[in-house]
Amino acid sequence: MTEVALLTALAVLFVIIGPLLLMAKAVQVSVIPALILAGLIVGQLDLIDEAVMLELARLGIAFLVFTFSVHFHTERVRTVISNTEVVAIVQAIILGALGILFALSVGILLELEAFAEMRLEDSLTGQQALFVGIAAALSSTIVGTTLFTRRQDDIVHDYLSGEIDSFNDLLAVFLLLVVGAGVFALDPIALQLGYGVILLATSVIINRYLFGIIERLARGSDEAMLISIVALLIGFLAAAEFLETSIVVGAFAAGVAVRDNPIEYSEVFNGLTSIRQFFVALFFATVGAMVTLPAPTAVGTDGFAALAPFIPIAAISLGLVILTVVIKPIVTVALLVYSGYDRRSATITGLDLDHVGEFSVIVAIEALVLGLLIEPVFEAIILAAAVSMILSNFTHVYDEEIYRTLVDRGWFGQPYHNVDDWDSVPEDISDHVVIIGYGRQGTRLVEFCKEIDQPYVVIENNPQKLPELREKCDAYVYGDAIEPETTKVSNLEDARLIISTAELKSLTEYFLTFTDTVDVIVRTRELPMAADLIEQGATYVIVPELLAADQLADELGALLNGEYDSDELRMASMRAVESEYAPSDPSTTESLPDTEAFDR
Amino acid sequence: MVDVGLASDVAIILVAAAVVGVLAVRLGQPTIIGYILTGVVIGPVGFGLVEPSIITETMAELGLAFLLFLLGIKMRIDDIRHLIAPIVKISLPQMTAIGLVGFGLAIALPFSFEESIIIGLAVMYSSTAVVIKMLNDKGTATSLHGKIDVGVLLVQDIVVVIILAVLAAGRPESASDVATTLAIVLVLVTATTVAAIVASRYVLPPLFRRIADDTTLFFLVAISWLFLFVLVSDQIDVLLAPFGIEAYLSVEMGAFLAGLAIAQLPYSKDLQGRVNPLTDLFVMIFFVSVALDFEASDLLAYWQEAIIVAVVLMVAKFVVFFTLLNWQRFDLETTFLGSINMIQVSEFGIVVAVAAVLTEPAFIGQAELGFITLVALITMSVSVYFIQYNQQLFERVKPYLSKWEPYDPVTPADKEYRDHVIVIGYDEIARRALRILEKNYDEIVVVDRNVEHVEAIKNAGYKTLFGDFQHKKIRKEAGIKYADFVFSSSVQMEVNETLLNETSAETTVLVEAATVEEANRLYDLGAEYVILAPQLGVKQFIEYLEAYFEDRSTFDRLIAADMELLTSGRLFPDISKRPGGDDD
Repeated sequence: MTEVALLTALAVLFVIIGPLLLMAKAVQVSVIPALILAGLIVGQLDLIDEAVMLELARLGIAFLVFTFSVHFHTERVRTVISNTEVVAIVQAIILGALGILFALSVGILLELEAFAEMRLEDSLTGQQALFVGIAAALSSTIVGTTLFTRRQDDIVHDYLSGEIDSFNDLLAVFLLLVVGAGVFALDPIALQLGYGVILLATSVIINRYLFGIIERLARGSDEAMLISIVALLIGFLAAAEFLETSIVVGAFAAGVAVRDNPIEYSEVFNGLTSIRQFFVALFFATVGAMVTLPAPTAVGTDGFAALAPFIPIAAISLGLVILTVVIKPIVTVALLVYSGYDRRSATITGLDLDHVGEFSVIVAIEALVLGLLIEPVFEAIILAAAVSMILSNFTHVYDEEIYRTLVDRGWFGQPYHNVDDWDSVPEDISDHVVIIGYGRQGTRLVEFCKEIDQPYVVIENNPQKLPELREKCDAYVYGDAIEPETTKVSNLEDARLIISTAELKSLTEYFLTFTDTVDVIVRTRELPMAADLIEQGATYVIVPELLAADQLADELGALLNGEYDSDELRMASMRAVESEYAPSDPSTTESLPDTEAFDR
Repeated sequence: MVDVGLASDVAIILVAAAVVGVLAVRLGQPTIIGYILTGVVIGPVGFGLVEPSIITETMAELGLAFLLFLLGIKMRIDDIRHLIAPIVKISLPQMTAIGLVGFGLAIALPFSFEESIIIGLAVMYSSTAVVIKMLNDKGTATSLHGKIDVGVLLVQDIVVVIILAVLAAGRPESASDVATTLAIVLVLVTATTVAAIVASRYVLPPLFRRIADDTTLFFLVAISWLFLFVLVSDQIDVLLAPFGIEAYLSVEMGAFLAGLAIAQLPYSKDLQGRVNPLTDLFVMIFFVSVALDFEASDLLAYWQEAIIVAVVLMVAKFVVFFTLLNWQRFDLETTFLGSINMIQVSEFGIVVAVAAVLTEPAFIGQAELGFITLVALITMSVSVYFIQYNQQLFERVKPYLSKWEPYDPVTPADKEYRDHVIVIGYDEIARRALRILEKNYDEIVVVDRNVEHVEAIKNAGYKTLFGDFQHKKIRKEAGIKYADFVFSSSVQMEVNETLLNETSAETTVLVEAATVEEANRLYDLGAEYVILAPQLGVKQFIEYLEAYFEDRSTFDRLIAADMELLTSGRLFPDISKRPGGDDD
């Protein structure tokens, strides 16, 4: 039989990945750190020819960036620099600076005689420090959206994390172009940017004119289309290599060249997903395998001598972890609160982004391959990535609890308001309706209250809704509903009815504490949860699909029994759609009623 | 510093194969031909641009493994259980017959006795890669003839393994050597099969049930499962060495069993959709790399002999298979199609030949190896066309074959849905709809990608399909083209647009949308009715509120029915008292 060494290595790797992923799922750790850990374990076994694996693995990067690029240019291009972008930039700068300083100090320390034993083969220069800084600054989504737990983009803190992450991705791509220059002098960077522009221009041309030709040639064969797209990607990668710029740039350009037609070629993109998942898993595992931890046996026998070379790596790693898991959230929270977000949403966002991003791993590997980064620092970054991601999982799962603890300990002080008119409620309001969330539902509820002359107060925490609140609401509070001051100012206890359109567990539970004196209507997406909530005293629970089914009931019966003439019905319903349901933007605080029955 | 470039040989292969593949599609030819041709053109025989490397060889090997894994996933044990006997009765005589034919031809042409034995041993098999890929592409892998072909190929696989094991051990000392190896291999295959079946009954169901909702995790764990079998098969000799047993198992066999274990689970269709593209990629590299190993001189040394042998063998294989299948009383169509698919010489033949070259002392030389390879290449390429047009050929030839029509044939069962209802996504609205629909329709299939929902659907007594409707396979399985009525409670535009795209004009389609813009677009695409669930929900709620502020007791009465459902605490509470909804 032919030699199967690589096959065996791959097999061993994936066999270890399986159980580790299962364990990770059991403890609610996400896929990527589990993959890195699997790689770490396999790496210790010393089975794998790294150079070969790396070749395969870099296909993972290529596919990853490629997919990101395809979605990116077809879905939305942000031209507006809003609050969140500013926060993202400032946060990145601060963390980046801290990272660089930290790494430099480690470098200086290592030069001292006292630490001679631990000295690295190559010294820790400013260039190396730069990458530590990048690792500290970026916490990107590029893999997050596909491999992390599913997000609900209609809740403020989810929306915030998503925005900041996306911005990080752009930053990362830009950085990669720079990294691709290989030398940090001005000329090569300009050259690199030039090459980048050439590649992008080519891809735009392909997108406009040539892609249609490919589509016609492939004539409806999914297989041919899939292979063509893969070939296109490979072509761009080869071009990038030829221009001696990073393959990431090539992959990004390739993505721009592809016209994303989700319906026509859904199978093709489904196909790309599977291929991508395979190579991405391989990528992170391989990266993990590249980290060499001191062998336990060696430590047993040689003791300190065996550990010594590893100490600088551990130190940098630890520093990075502290920077990202502790300092980054603090910085993020401060910036967000200053921009007008309530401290709870800010904290939860901060606890979402407290890790070394996946993209930093990619930057690190590219830098290593291009000879810009020394191995020890590279290994430190990978270790920090794995550890920080695992910790970040936990902070994410327990975010509300952590916030509670911080508030109870008084570490937060008083809520900060960046506007004066954050509350606009008549002094002696009572027997009113309190509406939580000014989105599609909230707006309609306010209209209704106005129609029947019922006093009301709206509570909303999204700064982007503030102008609307000021304009259309007679009484509102702009802030976090759970804050004691909000309760006081909105006179919650004297209300007649609270209607919460937000599906957040913490909010729901908070309002249910008022059920002795106030009627409380809350909302949940899942039927089984409703029973609990009713037991806790809810007057009614809004389960969107149940309500929709109720409303639809009679029509549905007639429709399905063929009682209506279908054309007539269609006309009638189209008219109804035009007039009754005013078009509106999806809200950001309240959750969209959604009868989606299965995951993406 | 790590000095690594992106795999350039893989790159060249991919780009070349893509170009040729697209050309092949454009010219209406099967892609396999394109890939083989690519290998010939860019390999040492042609322009010499690429030489096989570790990566290409590994990806090629993965190609076969994935192909068989995919195949295994499609097989339900129940489906093939009743075919095991006929399959064995067909495959063993077939191999003997063709082996003899091959041997006879080789002796007649100037090959030595030993060389002829090897040639006979090499040509007995049909190509797993070609047949299965073609079956897959044509969508006939689970047809009756498809199952027979696959079964025969698997038996052949076991035989290959045995022969390879024998060859790997050097020249066999005696017949008892061969017998021992045979016994060991059979035991191993049985053991692995049992392990796979046990796993599929006790280990896999609870495992996959817990992770099926998370698509990425599900996919990666399935791949991990595949590699477990691959690893064990690959390293079986290492694993058993301490016991002094020289063992051998083929990776492909292991992969098939891994897939078979998963086939029994309801999640298999979904997984097929995910594994397929990856398989396509690796298999492509496989076909390209078949031609990469050869120098032109070796390949063409016996080219005239190769053509003669290729033609004779193809005819002989067809005749032998036809006779045997007919003997087993399969209907004419199955017999014809099953036979014509198998007329080629397998790539395993090349593998056997390579092993024969590598034994010490070698059984055959490079030129003979080239000869066998050329025969394989010719027959593989020609057979692809026969397989592609097998149905048309059958229609042409049918009148002449009627005398062989068996008296009481075993005919395939027709399992497709027709004039049925498809419901996509199981939620409250879908439930109410279903209760009304079931009065008017016999066949209802509910498609959902959530494990809990699937159980609820089964409990409610409907047919269920676990999978993502965005995958073509699932749509095909649900019979989207033949449905009479489709109800989608998904608000994903991609699902609904695809749905409207692929249903015929006569099908009634009800979909859901989240916004007015989307609803209008869906109406434009031909939806009969678009349910705007969010807006409906709000409307209903406002109705309740009106009552609340007017007269509290009216409000309580209105929400009473809802409250009953809500307090039940179940995901799909009992709505038997609500035919279509509210009793107001």
